[in-house]
Amino acid sequence: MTAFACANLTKRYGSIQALQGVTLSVEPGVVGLLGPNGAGKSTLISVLLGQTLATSGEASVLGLDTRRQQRAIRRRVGFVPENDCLIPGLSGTGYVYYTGRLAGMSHGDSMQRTHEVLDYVALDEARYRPTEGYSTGMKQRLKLAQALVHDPDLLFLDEPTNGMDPQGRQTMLSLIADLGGAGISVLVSSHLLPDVQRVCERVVIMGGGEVLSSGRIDEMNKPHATLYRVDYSGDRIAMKRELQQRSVTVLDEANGRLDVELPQEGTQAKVMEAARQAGGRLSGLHPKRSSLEETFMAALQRQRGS
Amino acid sequence: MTTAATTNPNRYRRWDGELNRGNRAWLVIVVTGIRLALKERKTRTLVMTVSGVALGNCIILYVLSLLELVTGTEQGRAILEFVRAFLRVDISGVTRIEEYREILWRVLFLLVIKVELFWVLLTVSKVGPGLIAHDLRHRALPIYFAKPVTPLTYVLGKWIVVAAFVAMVVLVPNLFSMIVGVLITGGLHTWGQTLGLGWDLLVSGLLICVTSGAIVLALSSLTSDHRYVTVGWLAVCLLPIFAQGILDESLPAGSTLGWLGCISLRDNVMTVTDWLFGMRGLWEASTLPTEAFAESMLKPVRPICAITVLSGWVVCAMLVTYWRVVTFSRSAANV
Repeated sequence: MTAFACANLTKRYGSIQALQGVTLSVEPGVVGLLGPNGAGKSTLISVLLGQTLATSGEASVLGLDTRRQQRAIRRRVGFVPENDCLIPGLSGTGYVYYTGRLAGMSHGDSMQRTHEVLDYVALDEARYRPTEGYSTGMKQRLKLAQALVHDPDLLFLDEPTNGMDPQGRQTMLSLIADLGGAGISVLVSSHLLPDVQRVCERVVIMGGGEVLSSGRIDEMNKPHATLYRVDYSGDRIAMKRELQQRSVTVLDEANGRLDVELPQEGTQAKVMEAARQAGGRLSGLHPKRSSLEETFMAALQRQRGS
Repeated sequence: MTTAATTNPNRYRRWDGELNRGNRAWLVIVVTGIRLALKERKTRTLVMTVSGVALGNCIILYVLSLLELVTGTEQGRAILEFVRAFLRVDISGVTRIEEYREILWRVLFLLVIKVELFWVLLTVSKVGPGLIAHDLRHRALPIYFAKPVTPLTYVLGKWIVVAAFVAMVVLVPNLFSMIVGVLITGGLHTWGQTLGLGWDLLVSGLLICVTSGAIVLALSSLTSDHRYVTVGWLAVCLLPIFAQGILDESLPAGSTLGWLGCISLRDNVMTVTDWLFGMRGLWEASTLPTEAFAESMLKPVRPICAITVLSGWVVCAMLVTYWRVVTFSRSAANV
């Protein structure tokens, strides 16, 4: 079963097209949702939660229709909003217990489960204090606890590491990775690419209400066919001249390394030949890998170009 | 439903319990709302002080029951005769006090409700403004609408919180003092005589709960700052009374405008309550001489007008609240 799927999903707010023709099928696991502001990430989450009705198209979450089975969906998903979303006057325990009861848990179950998830997110004695005095990191962990209290099968996290210090960020990312390991599917909406790269197996890149790219991160980071990093020691000027003569473009040069672009795939021999002619020593020739950031930027540029 | 305890707090453990299928989220919202409101000392004080009104009511009912007891005996009648001769006033009505029990009780409770409306004004201005406004201010709505809570459930839960507090200051003290009154007056006859009054108290109490709850919730849904809601609530309740007074003064002597009684919430509530209590009929049926007093109890507004005005307020208020909450729920991920 897919974690969630959309087919030709569109959402229009007056003259604003928030989602246009979004077609996706996401397998269970930890998935990153990337995109600049206004890309449609929050609208997509809202539609998947069954809060917003799509203008056209179909969407399903855990096999449930978002139009007809909204309450059933919300029983099985957890949502961590970007904003504080705290209820003044309640302690951490009271807040998580309250959300457990809202989800349909009995008094006893909700109370027991509240302490379990607060232990899990490491809110120790602070759980008995009013939430107004919590730090940003504590608030984020508390929001994660309320999303976990009814043990959902799918979690939507909207900017879960926003405003957190490095240590808090590491803790949150560890928790997300652990949740993925425990069999909970997680959709992490974030603009922090290193965070997504660290915990997610797959990524969906959105822009202008469309899905620009999606797939496994390791596939997106596959070796580049024509971009190589050359480790060379010897006469650098001669080497560059020899490369130019063979139509190999030098893109960058730093610390004894040259970043080059081959004229076409499978022409690595031209670099070895150039090194031999320049009289130096070629100690390495590695294909470059696209980083997630490069993939993200390339996807956005393609969209702007089109 | 039992859950396996977390043995290692750093590893996530799945929960093997089941979620309740029935929609009781409104009850959870009510209980939490009441608990949070009662954490405020001022709210607790308001609720406690109204019990003083109920106590005063009980004391008056006790005095009336004593009078009934006294006038039922030869000695009592002799004492009353002595008082009549000594004071040189006509107290013949007192000797037939048992005949007037129902009407006296109704007049008493009507006066008590008038006093309690002041407590309603204060209690609602303390409890109601933050109910939705705080959720808007702290952006807590996504928490509700990411759980299986519908906008209707949310509004219902919040409305019952206000209604519960209004019931605490109107309904509960009145019903309590009525039961005490019946017990101390004694007899099945008393119970039968006052059963109708109990229903009337219940209906009038619910009328106040519905009206005040709906209006303050609508105001609370319009802003994220509860102070504006408090000002709005006080304005809705008090400004028409002031306007009424000013307009009434400006009219030529002897003339009156019937619709003036319709512009204030308090007067509309009291008109409907008068009508529910059947004061005009009771007075006319009794042998009490002061017809003018009976007339003074009644507003010059027909009950149907007051009911229409109150219904209009409630329907508009509920529509505004529901529309606002539905709007927020549909953009909950973006709120």
